[in-house]
Amino acid sequence: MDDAPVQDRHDAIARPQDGPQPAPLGDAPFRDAPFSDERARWLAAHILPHEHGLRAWLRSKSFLGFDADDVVQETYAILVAKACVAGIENPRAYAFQTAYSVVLRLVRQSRVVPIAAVADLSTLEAVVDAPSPEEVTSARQELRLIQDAIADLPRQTRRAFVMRRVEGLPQQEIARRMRLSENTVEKHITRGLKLLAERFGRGER
Amino acid sequence: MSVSARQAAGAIDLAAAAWVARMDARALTADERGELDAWLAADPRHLGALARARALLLSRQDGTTASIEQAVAPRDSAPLPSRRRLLAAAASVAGLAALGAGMRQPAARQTYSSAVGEVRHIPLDDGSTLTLNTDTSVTLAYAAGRRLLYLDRGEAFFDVAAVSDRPFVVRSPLAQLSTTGGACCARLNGDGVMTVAVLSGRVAVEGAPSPLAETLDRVTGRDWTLRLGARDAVLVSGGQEVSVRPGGAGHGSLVSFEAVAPGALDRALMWREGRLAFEGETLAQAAAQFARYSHRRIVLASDRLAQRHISGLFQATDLAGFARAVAVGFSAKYREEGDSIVLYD
Repeated sequence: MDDAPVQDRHDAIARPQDGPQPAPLGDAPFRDAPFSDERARWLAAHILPHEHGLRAWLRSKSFLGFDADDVVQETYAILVAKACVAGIENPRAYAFQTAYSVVLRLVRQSRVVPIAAVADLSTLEAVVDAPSPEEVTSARQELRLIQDAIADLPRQTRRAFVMRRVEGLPQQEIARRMRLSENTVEKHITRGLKLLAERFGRGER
Repeated sequence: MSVSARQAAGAIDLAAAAWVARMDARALTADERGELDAWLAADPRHLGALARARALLLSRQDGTTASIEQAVAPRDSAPLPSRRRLLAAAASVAGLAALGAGMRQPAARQTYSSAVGEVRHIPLDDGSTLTLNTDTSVTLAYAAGRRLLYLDRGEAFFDVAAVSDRPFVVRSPLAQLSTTGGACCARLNGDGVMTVAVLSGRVAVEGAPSPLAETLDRVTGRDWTLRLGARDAVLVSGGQEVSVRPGGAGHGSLVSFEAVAPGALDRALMWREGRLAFEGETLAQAAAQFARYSHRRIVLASDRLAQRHISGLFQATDLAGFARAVAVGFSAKYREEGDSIVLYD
């Protein structure tokens, strides 16, 4: 890891294709998390890029009375708890299928279901196809949205977050460089993740 | 979407972000681990939010851009078994050599079945979905050149992912359905008649393959029957329904188009959500429908009741709820007798 000024790094994020390739990271694995880092990486690579499309689809069905955020969180819960994901050839279709099963359960659980709403459930299944070229494009744009969301973070939070996520520095080292307490760096990471979680996928700008 | 629900999801995201940042900073203390476990146990969404936050922290421009190509183009980056299937497909046009290869490698078969009253959704490897209605059995025999399934018993809904060069073929003792993409529902009725309803796409319906063709097919792993659009096939489009019945000795199967009222197909397919929808059916017809989903029975003690017409949406396995609704709606009474619920005036 070189010691390039932080401002250059920010430019690299705004224009990722021009920026320097981040060095491979020596992340310590999450020993305490109930899932492996490998699975989290799989989610990052195969599910996050389709979240925007999934949310758009869920929003178009929101008259059924469920909350899209609830469905997305439950979908991630099912995907992360699955014993093995190696056999999933089409993660997008699988994510939509999983979300569909969550919606069905939520709608079944709700005590009052308008008959028009139930009839419309039959159209829910139609989306589980291979992505069209337009969707591939939007999935790529989706990754740019993460970069945009990071660029929009408050300055100190962004600095800490970029050092952590892009440069792969441990929080301890970030605290040393920013001359902050480790506790404060942790708060910046929390804040950055929270804002990212809010903006990414939900289209809240 | 209510405001309180949105705030709840936001609050979960905040807690998840804090946990991920904490675990990213250092190992948790024993107390914190207990606290995390309790938080995760409190709501299934918590685990999902935690996984998502961790994924957001791990996602990087370099890694994710490369892998998105794999994510959206699964067939190009197919793992070994699929590549082997592609090779097998290439070999099958080479003729005789493939015949031998097929004999050594018959397609792997897997049977899925559902119990009485159960509805199962089964996502398949090719992106298609199989939904089994009550008391149904379907056997999968996917091979290189086609996606072959056998409807052994009951009723199933097939949401077929479009693959133009790998037809999706459903066989029953009475008929064979083939399509390259679309959605259809096939049902083997107790009276020996099969119904096929097509929601979207086009489905070719023809008589079941001869026993000889079926045997050759199984032994060689090659298709000896499939003739999409062949002379005796009936092409069924979205919104249409056909019945297939045996044509008598030596006459194969007879296929006839059924009149479908607007909305009737959607209503009929409510079983996929575990519900039965009626619109003007007689109580006798409704009771017969419920009988498919339960070992219990609705008995209509009077002709007056049996001929009444009913509309509404019911849980397929909730016979008591149906009896209550009928009792209220038609000023009738009901009592339970062993495995039956008797409705009477």
